[in-house]
Amino acid sequence: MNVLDNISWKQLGDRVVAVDTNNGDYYTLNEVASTIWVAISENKTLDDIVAQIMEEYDITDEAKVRQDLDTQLAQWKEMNLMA
Amino acid sequence: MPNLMLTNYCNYKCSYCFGKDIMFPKNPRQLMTRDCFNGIVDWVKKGPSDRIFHLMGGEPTLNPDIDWMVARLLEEDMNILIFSNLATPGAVDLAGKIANLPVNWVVNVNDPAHWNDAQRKNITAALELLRERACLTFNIMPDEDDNMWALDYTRRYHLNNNIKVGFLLPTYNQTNEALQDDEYTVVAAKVTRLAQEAAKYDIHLDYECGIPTCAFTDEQLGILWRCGSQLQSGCNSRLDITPEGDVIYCLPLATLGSKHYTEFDSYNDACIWFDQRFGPYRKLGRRIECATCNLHNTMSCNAGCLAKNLINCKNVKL
Repeated sequence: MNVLDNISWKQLGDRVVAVDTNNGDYYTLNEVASTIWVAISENKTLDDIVAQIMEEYDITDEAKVRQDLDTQLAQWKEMNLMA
Repeated sequence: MPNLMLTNYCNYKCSYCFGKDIMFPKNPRQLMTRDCFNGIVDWVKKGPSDRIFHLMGGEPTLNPDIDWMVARLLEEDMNILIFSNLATPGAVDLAGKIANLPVNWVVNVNDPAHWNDAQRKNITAALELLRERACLTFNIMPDEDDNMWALDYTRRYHLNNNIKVGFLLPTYNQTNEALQDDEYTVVAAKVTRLAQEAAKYDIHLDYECGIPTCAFTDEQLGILWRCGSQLQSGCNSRLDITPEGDVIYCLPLATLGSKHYTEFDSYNDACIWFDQRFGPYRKLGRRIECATCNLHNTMSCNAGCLAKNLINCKNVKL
């Protein structure tokens, strides 16, 4: 997946803010979502992102992390932030 | 109405200049011609707008046609504001010719301690001529003294009693010297002290664009208010037009793109075109707190300088 070209974004501390330059819709992501967003923009694989989340947030349930990641990515796709 | 760059050449080479990306020597030296000037004036007159033309540079008095351009605008009954450092012989010459005409000057100066003899001679001669037609403007440096010289000059030469102060702002490409994040509060404290001292002489502060409200504490904002120097935290760009007639949103964002003025039906259309493209980016803010800040959400504060806020931002394009 990739962030769409019309989505302009930046990191402010550990958070990501994004704006859809076509319609002005504005998004602030929480810390975990920001970590995922940045990892996606760096073209990391889903496996790498799962491992990163588990390590950074000290989570042991890999299946749950993978499921949450899938849900998040589907949501961003639905919101036309990524494709 | 727009800021017209009569030249991209300046007799100063300030490290903090936020026009650096389109100035000489980074770009070829340019002078606005009479033809280009006439075309822009006619174009601006087509649409509804205020009747103020800002003439700037580089240093606008280095355009040998500036006398003629001022005369042309006066014929059109336009108000004129000239942004000059007054350090050129041409500035003194022009000041002498038009000091009694309805033309106001914003004088870009730095601390007189840094002027050489020739600069001092020209600046003081021009100030002597212009008096209340001129107001001083300068950047508040984090590491210099408290700028009381500006009060001295304003009183000594009977200048306009509004002094315009600014923060050192970056270009989008970060090619100039600009404030670091932790220096904003240092400069805000200096601004507050200057406002307090200025109020004793009935002198008040105005503000250049790009100053975020949150650089100041509530107490400092209160002091500014009581001193008659209430902070205006705007980033409301008048469009700039280069010596060759290219319209840009503002100097620090010049490298993001431009369109020649003839591509727009009117100045008003150009404003709408640029606002539509840059407007969404304003929401990104300067700090994460901007997202929930009432001042930002009601556009009472534009979160500082847009060029600064777009640095390190991905997918920025016109």
